[in-house]
Amino acid sequence: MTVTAMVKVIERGGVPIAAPEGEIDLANVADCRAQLIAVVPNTAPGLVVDLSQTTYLDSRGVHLILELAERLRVSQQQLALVVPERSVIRRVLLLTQVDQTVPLHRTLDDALQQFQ
Amino acid sequence: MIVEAPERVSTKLILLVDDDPVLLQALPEALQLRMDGVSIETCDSAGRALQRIAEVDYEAIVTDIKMPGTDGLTLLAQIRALRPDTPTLLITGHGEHDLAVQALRGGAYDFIQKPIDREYFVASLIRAMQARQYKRQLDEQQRTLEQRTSDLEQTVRERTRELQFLADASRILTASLDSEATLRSIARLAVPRLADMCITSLAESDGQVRRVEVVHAEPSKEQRLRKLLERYPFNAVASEPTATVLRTGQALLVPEISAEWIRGLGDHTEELSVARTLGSTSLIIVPLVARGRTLGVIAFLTAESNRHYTRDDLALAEELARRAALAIDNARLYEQERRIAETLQRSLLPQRLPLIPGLAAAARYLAASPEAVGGDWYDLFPLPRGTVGLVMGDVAGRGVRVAALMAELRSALRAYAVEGYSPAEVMQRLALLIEPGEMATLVYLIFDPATQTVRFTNAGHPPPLAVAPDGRASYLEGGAPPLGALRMPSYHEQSAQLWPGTTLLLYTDGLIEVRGASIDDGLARLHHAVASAPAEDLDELVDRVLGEVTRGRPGGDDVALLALRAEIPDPARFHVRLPAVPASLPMLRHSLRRWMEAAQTNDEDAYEILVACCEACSNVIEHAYGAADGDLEVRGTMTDQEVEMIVRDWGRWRPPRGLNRGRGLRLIEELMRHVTVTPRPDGTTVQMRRTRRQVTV
Repeated sequence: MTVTAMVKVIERGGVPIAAPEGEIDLANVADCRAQLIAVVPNTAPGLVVDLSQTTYLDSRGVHLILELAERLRVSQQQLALVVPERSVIRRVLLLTQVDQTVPLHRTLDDALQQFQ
Repeated sequence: MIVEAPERVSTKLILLVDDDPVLLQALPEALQLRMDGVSIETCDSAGRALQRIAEVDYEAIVTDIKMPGTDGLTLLAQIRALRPDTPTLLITGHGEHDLAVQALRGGAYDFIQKPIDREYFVASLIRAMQARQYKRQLDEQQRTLEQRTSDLEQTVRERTRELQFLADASRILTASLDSEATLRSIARLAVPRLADMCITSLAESDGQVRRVEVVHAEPSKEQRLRKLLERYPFNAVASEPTATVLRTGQALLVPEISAEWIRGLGDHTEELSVARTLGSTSLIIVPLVARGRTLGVIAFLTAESNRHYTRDDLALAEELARRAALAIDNARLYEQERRIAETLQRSLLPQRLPLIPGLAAAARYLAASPEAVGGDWYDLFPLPRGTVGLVMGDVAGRGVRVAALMAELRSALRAYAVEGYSPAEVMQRLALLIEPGEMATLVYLIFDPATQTVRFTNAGHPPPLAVAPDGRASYLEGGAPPLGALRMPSYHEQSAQLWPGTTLLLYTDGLIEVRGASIDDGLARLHHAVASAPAEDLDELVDRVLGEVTRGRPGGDDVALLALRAEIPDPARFHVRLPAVPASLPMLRHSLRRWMEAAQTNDEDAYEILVACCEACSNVIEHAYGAADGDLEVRGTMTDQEVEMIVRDWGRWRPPRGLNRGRGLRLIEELMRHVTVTPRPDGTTVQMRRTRRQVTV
């Protein structure tokens, strides 16, 4: 059983917002990566990845976020993460020091502030 | 006194008896003058006449009625006794009407009154002889007719025997779909009716020829014949003329096996030498030809019966061979189709049931007969969020078409199920795949071990049975007609709440439909069988159910049986073994969550233990086995203070490469505090240990 990570995409003020629902692991990280990369047009200032509906994320997911950040940096675009205060995945992101590279925001509005 | 007439082929002898020398002199002359082709003998007494009559078959006899000694009437009686067909004319005196009547009553052809009217006499004599001639012709025709009738009867008897023989052969040929058994029976049938020895052989696909059966009318000689033939395996040169018949497809008839004939075949006719040793006199070899291919030969030989084969025997042998070849060809086609169907069907049944953590499963498939393949199948597969799909289906009929429909339904069902369609939606879609004339029963269940609920839709299949740990069992009733029964079917979903630890039993009707018993009996027996020991090991359970419900005499149908039970997690211990593939990770997380929930682990601890274990397992999946298959095992122990997790594999790690580059291991160390990685030649163990956070109240 391979669970396809459902990545929901909306857009707010020219900034695409991608929200992966469910679990990101070895089984679906490649699929998830393809979906996230596809949602950023060259004209956009960057991407918000909203992890509020993500119930599982391990080092594969961490690597995906860091790779995404690197790609956007090269194309002079920004990445912002939304990780609610109570989210179980916050600790993994902190332990792997993702917050040193990509800003973690508690809400979507906070994240969008980054693009003002 | 004999008056000689010129010898002529058609000369007819007439005897004249009279005591009057004048008449004996005059009458022959008168007759000779008036009749062609007759010669007349005369006798002057009845006694002498009788002697002659005994020696010569006269065409007609004329006798005087009044003679000294034996008179004419007495002589007439003696003639009637001796030569009943010879017409006799009597000469009576003038006015002796009484005598004349006596003469006619005594069997005289006519009487001639004195004085003799010669014209009348001659005319009467000629009529008498003609009548005799006609009678003779009639007798001849009668005899010919009788002979013809007898010949016909003989032919009919022979044809009847042949037809009976062919009818017996046809019965044998249609009785079995095993080509070798067929040929063996045919050989047995041919001896002794058609032959004293019969040898049947089949051509193999590699060009070799294998003797299938050797029969001799005498059992002792049969042993000898077999032994002799064993010394001579088929050889294209040595086995002339069998090889010729095989090659040309033309039958061979040898009415007389002579030494010259054998010499004429060459030096290597070992097979025939064998036959000759056993004294065979006559031979027929017929090819088994079907659809233009020669499948083998049948050799008929005579010996003890000293019978010599004729063209009629050859015709019968050829007819027999024609029918046998058809039967063998049919059997082979059937065998081929059966093998395809079987392969197809077996490939559709899970080789082994998927290992799903927290679930025990067992399945059995019993084929009713090795000859035909039924359309039963079962399936078990994990679905998202820890749920499990269970399928039991039965396509009506047997053979390749049925297996193909089964394959179609199975794949489509899996696809729709994984897409997330509900049981009713899946069934609705499967109904569209059924062609007119096809029919299948099917039950599809989604079982959620976490909540112990089932959602299911049943299309005409026997109801699944749910057995609680205390033995209470109930059928999951409710459903719709089979797939293919209605043009516009409408399927609905049913659901049931199960007791924790309930065993679900799915099966096909072959289990409950035992010949001579009603379905209700079968259902009751099944109910009883599972209720008596509900909590035993599932493999033991399914074996016992099969034994008890079918009572060792399964019906004519295949039986498929699938049992599933969600194990109740033990809060102190965790153990799963899964294939080392990415798809195992969601299943592992699901069962780990259930376990930690049972052990009342707080959310943060649970998540961190989850990530640590899955990191270790991801490493196994990526690094331990390469492209090969392998398993991974996760064990856990939990106390109030501490949790220890051990992930092990049976592969050889390669240095980390690719995306992750050791980040996973660092994360594990951060999450679990005490981490030991022990690589061994037979696998690697990752031991992780940490204290539990105290639950904040």
